[in-house]
Amino acid sequence: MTHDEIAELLGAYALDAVDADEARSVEAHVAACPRCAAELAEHYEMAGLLSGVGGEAPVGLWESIAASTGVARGDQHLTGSPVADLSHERAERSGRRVGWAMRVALGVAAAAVALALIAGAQINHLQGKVNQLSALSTTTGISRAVQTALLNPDTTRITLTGSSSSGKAAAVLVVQPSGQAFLVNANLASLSDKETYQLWGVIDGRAISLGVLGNDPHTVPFTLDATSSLTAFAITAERSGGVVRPTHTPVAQAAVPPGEIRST
Amino acid sequence: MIDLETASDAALVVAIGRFQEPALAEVYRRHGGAVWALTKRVVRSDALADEITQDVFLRLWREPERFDASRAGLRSYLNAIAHNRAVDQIRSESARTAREERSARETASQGYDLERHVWDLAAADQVRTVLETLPDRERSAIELAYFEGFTYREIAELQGEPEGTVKSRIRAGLKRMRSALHHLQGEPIGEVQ
Repeated sequence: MTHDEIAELLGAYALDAVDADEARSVEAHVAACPRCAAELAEHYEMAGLLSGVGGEAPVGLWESIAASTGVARGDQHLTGSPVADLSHERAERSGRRVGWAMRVALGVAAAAVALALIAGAQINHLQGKVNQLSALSTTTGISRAVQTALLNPDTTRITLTGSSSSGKAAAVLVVQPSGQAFLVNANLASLSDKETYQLWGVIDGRAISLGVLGNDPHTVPFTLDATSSLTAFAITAERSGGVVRPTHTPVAQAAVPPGEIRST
Repeated sequence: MIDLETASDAALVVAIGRFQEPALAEVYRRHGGAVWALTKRVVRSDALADEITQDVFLRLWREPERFDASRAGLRSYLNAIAHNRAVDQIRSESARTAREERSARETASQGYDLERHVWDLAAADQVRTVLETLPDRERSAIELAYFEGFTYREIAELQGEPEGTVKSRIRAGLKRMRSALHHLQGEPIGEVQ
């Protein structure tokens, strides 16, 4: 890349918004270009300010850090410190952290089990109904709605990964507490006109159609019952028009940890 | 043993390098909240924010020499690592190579004191004000990149704009923020006398 091309990337790089190849190019260039290094430092400065000042350190997290460093034995030096104040929460926090790791493992396992049930599952178009959002029928409208959803702190983002060994993201689901949702940044190979991608949710081991996505989806709105206990999402390739139950192995899928989708 | 409560951040990191464990606790007390809050905003998961925050402080414990007090404030350094980790977690490309080290985000601040804390608070207010004054597309591009972890290419798709336009908007927006903050403060930002 040329100097000017690198310079255009500096802002995005400072926000961690470039891909790995571009990051390497920027880093190599900046190491040898004082002008770009100076501009990057300024962008970093802004990024540092964007991060804000935060609040109190989370209660109990220190215990986990201390447990990994052996710091806990130094608490007699730290009157009023996190170590001194929070030691009684060690057991609770330790349990929580292990719980997280377990949840991830169990979530993946649950998705595998749930998706295995898809082939024999019954479809229920009424229960898992997908409503194309007519109010968001224009590309501009959808784009604006997606951005608004993404900037809502209560929105849940779920990344569906491809079934291939690469594990690359195939799409992202953006789910608002109201149940309005979007499939965005779909990275799915185009299908023929006789085929379509179809989005499924797994509830109690049953596959529920959440929408027909078309043969070359990018951003697709849909709605779901946010109070339902979804355990996984999946995308399959089906014949044009969609099917009542999945007939192919998912091309992308994601487990949904319990409580991940919040509802209003 | 140094006086932890009055020691500068740089002095604490030196102490960490000498395996003085309470120094890490003091750094956590000062900056753990900021690191966690930023991470939580990006990943939207308490558990994941815990995980990343822990990693950030353990990294400081294991590799304190990576912090260069002449180039960055400690909070900015820790936040930079946390943000990079957080973005890696949510970024669509799971194999994205983590950038190992980040350069300075702020002009160096050698000490941590009340002035610094007050300045941080004031700066945060001003940043919020300045962000609101940016053109919508510039502001949303910056927010989607920094707080949502999207690449500029993903933002271009979301906004239905050419990638080059989004790149330019992010760069221009950050420059505009800097200029506006200069104007608001009447002095170079990032410096604490």
